[in-house]
Amino acid sequence: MTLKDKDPLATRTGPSFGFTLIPSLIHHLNPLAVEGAPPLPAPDTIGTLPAADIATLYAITLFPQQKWSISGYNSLDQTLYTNFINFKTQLVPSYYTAYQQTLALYKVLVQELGGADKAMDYLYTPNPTTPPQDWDVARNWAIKEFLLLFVISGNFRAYEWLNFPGWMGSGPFNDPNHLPYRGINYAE
Amino acid sequence: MPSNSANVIIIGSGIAGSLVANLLVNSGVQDIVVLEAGSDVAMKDPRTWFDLVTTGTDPFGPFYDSQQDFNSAGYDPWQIVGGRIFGRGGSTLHWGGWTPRFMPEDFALQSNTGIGIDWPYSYADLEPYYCTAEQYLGVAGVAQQGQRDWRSKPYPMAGPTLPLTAKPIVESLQAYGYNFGNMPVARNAVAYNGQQQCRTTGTCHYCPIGARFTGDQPLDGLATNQQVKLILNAAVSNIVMSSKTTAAAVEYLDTASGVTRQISANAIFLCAGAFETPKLLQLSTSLFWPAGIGNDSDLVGRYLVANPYLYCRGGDSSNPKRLQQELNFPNLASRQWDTPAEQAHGKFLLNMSYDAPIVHPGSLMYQGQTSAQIIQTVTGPFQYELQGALSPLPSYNNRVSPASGTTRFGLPRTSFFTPDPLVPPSTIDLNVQRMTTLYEKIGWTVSGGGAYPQRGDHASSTCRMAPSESEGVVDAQMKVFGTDNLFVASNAALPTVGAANLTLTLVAAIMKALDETLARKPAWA
Repeated sequence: MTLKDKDPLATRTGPSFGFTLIPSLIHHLNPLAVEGAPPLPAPDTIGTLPAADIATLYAITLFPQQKWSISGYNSLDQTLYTNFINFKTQLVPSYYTAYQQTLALYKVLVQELGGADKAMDYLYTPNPTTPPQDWDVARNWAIKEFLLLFVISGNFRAYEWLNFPGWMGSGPFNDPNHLPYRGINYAE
Repeated sequence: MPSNSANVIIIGSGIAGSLVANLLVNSGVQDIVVLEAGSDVAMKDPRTWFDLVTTGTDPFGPFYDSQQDFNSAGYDPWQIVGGRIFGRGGSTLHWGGWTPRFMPEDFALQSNTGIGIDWPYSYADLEPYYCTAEQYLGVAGVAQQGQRDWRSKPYPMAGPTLPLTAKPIVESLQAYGYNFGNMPVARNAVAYNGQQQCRTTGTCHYCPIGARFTGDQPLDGLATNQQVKLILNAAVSNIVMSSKTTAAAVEYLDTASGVTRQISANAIFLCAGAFETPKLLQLSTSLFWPAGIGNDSDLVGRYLVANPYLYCRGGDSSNPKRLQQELNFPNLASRQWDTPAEQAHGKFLLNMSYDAPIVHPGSLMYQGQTSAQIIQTVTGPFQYELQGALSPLPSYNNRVSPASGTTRFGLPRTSFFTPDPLVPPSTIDLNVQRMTTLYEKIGWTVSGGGAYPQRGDHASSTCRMAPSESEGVVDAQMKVFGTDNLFVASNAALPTVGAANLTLTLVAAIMKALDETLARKPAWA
């Protein structure tokens, strides 16, 4: 591995005194955002997904626990997840159609591959030999964001960090003996 | 249809404008109109935050300058994209909340070095207002014994403990015997001023719960106050003078409707930052002020400064402690070189940032990496970036002025002409070398350093406070020389700046100026 250079945005504009991490932070949160992606389908079409569909997306979102053997860290319950999906589908730009297409693809994969786990594993494996219909939409507008949401929902702790940008389950910094991050006196 | 008169008009709704509105209301001043060129910005908005953390979409992108909004020429031409926000609450919507005080010598640049100008008052004069400003902003900090920016009251809240990431650099600083400490930050260690306690989400750029001070928060507090009216999408184009001394009205373009309106007033506060404030004064020409208001000495827009920003990168070949920016805002700082001895060539305030690789396991999973591969990245080579700001040296030749054309906010484009460097090039080399030795002390490899392109964040001094009209634009109470009722409550009025972020000092200086102004009981108050 080689060290990556400063991200292009930071190099172009320089850091901004007082929030010096911001260009890096944005890159951090989604380093792949700079890559080409298909446009979000029907961004003006808002809607509310049925509970069963949200439950399916929830199962897909938590599948990385199984695929990457991460357990015991997740804080994303189904209520929080439903809020997330509703914010994404009920406001513009809406992911309503993108999620519908992802669900349709998932159902096809379940049929063709012979089970939910195989279908989910397929969705989380890049570069298929013959991408099925709506593959790019599902990967770019659902799977990629689900992975980022999965990681910030406590699952980053599998990598021994105590805190991570986007982690909403963290505590305040006002008690030096119970810091929500690894402090300088942290037992190494 | 807005009323065509008000008692007081405030131009700009950022940290200065919202502060002035609050101070005036709390003093019983009535009938205040705040004009903001930008629109509303959704803060503490769940969908915006979800988009930030799952797509990296910058919530403030639509509110920044674009590359087409300005011209830059001169030594290290200025680059201002991403530096300021046109919207309700202004640029503190995206700030990091750093709130260090200036050092005592920062108020006496001319006396100490022969360069620039002295402030009309000292650190000791401003110190009580620093305390009040820290309470207003909600500053969390860790006081140091013997610190030269001495304080008469404790910080309002305790500051964050340094993160493990800071430990290697702390060890290096300690080995040299250099001072270090926490950067004071306007983040809530506890619930404060009606805002929630910080939960260290690490998305401070856009706090989902409002636990860092932002300029919209004071405006929220005024939302139901009948004495204050905020008008958005109001791009002010002219200040109308009814005599040499009296500002009578402002003209603004309602960018939503395309209609130009005029509002008369008894007093006007210009709170539009270090660029828009001098531009508006220069454009407000009349028989009374043919070169623009307050510009008979041709000083409006001159002495433009901002902090040059340095970096030095260094790291090691493996990362067994899995260091990452867990706290995700730099809070280790050293003021070892923020001293009088450095003042003549530029003082230096050092801070530290973890730099690379920025590991997001979600992205690596998306690429198809296995758990073993991800851990290899997490524990592999890494890089830090020591950074720091220099105190700039003012030059008469460096100037901001209006350019032809209009921005999408309805404001005139901006021209920067900066033929003189803000610090001698040798100052950059000196401080990069200092950062280099910090890495070398702990055996890390240095991979480069220098100065970032000059940004406009924390620009100041373009309508500087001075003893007389021949040396500056405003007096010690921030009133434009030669006028009775026109004030510049903005970065533009600061005579000089130090290496420290100037926001806290701006707030304190405005509090002092208004305190003294209101004590004189002007008719509009």
